[in-house]
Amino acid sequence: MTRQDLLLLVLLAAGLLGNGFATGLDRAFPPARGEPPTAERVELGRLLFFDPVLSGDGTLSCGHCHRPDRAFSDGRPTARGSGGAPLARNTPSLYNVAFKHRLFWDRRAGSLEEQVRGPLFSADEMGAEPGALLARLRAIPAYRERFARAFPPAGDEAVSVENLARAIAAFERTLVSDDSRYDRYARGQRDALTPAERRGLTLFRSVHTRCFECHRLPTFEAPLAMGVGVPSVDDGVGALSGVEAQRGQFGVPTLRNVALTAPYMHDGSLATLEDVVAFYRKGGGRALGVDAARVHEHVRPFAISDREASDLVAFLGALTDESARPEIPGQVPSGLPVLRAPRLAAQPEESR
Amino acid sequence: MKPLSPFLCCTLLLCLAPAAGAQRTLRVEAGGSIAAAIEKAPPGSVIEVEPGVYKEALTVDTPNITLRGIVRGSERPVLEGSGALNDGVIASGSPFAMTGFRIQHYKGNGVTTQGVDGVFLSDLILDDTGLYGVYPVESRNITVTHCTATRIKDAALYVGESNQVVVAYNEVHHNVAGIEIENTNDALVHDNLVYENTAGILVFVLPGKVQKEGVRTRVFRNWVVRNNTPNFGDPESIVGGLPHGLGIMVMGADHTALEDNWVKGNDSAGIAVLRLAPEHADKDPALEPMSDHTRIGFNYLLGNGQKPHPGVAQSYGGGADVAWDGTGENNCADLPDPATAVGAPLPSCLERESGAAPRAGQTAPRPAAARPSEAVIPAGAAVVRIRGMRYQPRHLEVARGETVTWLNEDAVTHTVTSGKGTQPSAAPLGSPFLRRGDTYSHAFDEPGRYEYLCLPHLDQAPMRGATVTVTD
Repeated sequence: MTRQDLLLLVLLAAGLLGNGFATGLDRAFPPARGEPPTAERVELGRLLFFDPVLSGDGTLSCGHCHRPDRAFSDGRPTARGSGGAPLARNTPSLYNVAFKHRLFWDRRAGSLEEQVRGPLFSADEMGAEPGALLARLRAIPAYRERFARAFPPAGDEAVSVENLARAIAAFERTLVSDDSRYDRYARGQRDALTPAERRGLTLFRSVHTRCFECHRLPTFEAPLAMGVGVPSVDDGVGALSGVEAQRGQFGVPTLRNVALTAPYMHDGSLATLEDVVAFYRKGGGRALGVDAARVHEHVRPFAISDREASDLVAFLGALTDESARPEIPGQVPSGLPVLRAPRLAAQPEESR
Repeated sequence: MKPLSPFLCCTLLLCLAPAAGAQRTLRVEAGGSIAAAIEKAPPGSVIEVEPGVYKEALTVDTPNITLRGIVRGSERPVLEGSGALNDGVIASGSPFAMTGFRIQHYKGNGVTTQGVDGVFLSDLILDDTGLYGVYPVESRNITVTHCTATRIKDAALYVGESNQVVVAYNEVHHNVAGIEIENTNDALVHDNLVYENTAGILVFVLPGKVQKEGVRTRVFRNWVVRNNTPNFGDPESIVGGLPHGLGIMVMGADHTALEDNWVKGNDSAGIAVLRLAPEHADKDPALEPMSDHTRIGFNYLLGNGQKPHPGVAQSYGGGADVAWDGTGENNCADLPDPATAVGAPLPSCLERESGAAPRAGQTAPRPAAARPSEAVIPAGAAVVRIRGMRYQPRHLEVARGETVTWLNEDAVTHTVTSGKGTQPSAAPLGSPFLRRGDTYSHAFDEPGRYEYLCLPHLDQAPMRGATVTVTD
């Protein structure tokens, strides 16, 4: 036996032991929705995403609420808008938005490009006004040049609201999270999950807890609106459609990187994953006096032990993968400060 | 790179041989752990389990695993949840097969497959396994056969959001729902014994599912009898809110065909066709809530709707063999002559298909019930006449190689179906439903004793336990 043989043999053995056959959980992600990103658009989108020039008063960027260090959420129960005023709903993570059929808690946007316009032009949020925003961007040579390169052959015309939305959407479509320890386990690396996490994974797929029915593999979300009965005056999907039976429904959020995005639910009313498991364990809103018609029939009390509850939380922690986390640009073309410190400093006390 | 040495070549071959498809069999002895065997089983393994009690919840994520319970007479391995474990089996590996187990006392369900292509569940006895007995979801190419399921609080044999399904030769009783096909396409539900549940067979489309439609379910040759057990499900669930006394119910599904079923003694309705109620349908606007293109062909409907649940009586003006709420497009029924109907009258399928102007409320011409006995009996065949609810002779002896022909002379329909006691089996005798004058022949090439029964009448002693003995 030669040294080369020995080396190959060791590699082979390591391969067989450490990375066995793929399990039945190894499922392909659905195809990403919308137009495929190009490198120029992604880079332009990244700069725009972190540039406060987008907001009416030059203080807020997308990244102020969708913070990369919090899996693109903000750690607050509900978002803060223009001037620090609290908004109605919790800031959702942006990981894997490329796969989502509809955006916003009430699912009102059918594409990321449509979604971008929401907070951008909302007076309560970034408070931009289209004409003034385009004038500001056109006055910055670096943006003129980057827009022109990303959206040929439009020249100066390239700086448009449509292209701005397309660039930010292209950037957001790169925020893919599909290499968590759970994914490695699914692909056959048996020791990628701890025993508690494996027990939690089994509980997640139990017909007793029924977590898997809405948070579907492999994206851990579903293109569905569901009512789980978080007590709230917010009617969600029903407020938008006016349909009585949809009152209290919200889009099913992904659980990928969920350990990083506390607090939880559409209004951030549950501080920890332990709280979320406790909420569902008691039957969601059923236990809290919420009208049963607002709670999906699969959300029912389930008896599990405290150890099982903590196993579930442990499993959710195995869905963390930030390998696509982008770098925050050191500076942006507007020259405005990126992710200003005071907002970050105020964070920990407010996050409950 | 140098060519590999002979040593490494051999090692490689040894390593790769199991992966190349050689089937591996692992055996679990009584007192052992099935989960431990699953953990070390490579893809393609058959795990044989000796009779014994196994207090385990199993997760099968390895592809191509067969869990084979060894059945010796009345002995078989028991998966015991003790009322404390959640699920008997959760499987994600494709394909997945499980046979020969008894599964009991789980909180959630007996066997669930999630996202599996190729599911074979056979000869399982499921008792008191929580909400479901078997629960394949988001799966395809599913066969559930020769299972028995009892005392289950939602649906005993459930299939959801799946495609290409066969549910056949099962016996389900004393559950809330016997068989439920939900948001599922291309399901064949046939030759099942479905009795004394709250509701027998449900073909549903419900809200809040990714797969929105449920089309082309065919329900045929089932025995759906006395499904009058008071509902003991969770009243806040859709199935838990069903009235008792329902034989077969189509709600929201399209292109469902019901044919040759024996539907008898269901107190509210033998067959009900209706839309999904607005309070449920409105939760999911992408859902089409009507039952369209339902075809109720020839079924044997008798004595249904005689003591309807108050809810049914109120909605339909009483109970009957067939109830339709009048919604949906292109639904039709060909009812036998004495069959009763409530709600809106269903137009005849035959008239529509023969081009005649459909006339609501008109039942089809009755099939020629009293055909003359010009039945073809092969020359030299031994004949068993089915007359007066009896096989005559009840016990017949023939020589090897002889053909036996059964001739139905009764006004009611019978079958000649292999089976011991009240438990039918698939082979070797399996006649279609025999109307008066119909015959069925079988050539016996193997010596032995062949017991058989009549599927629609196996609750009547003279119509079971009949035999043909073949001498050498």
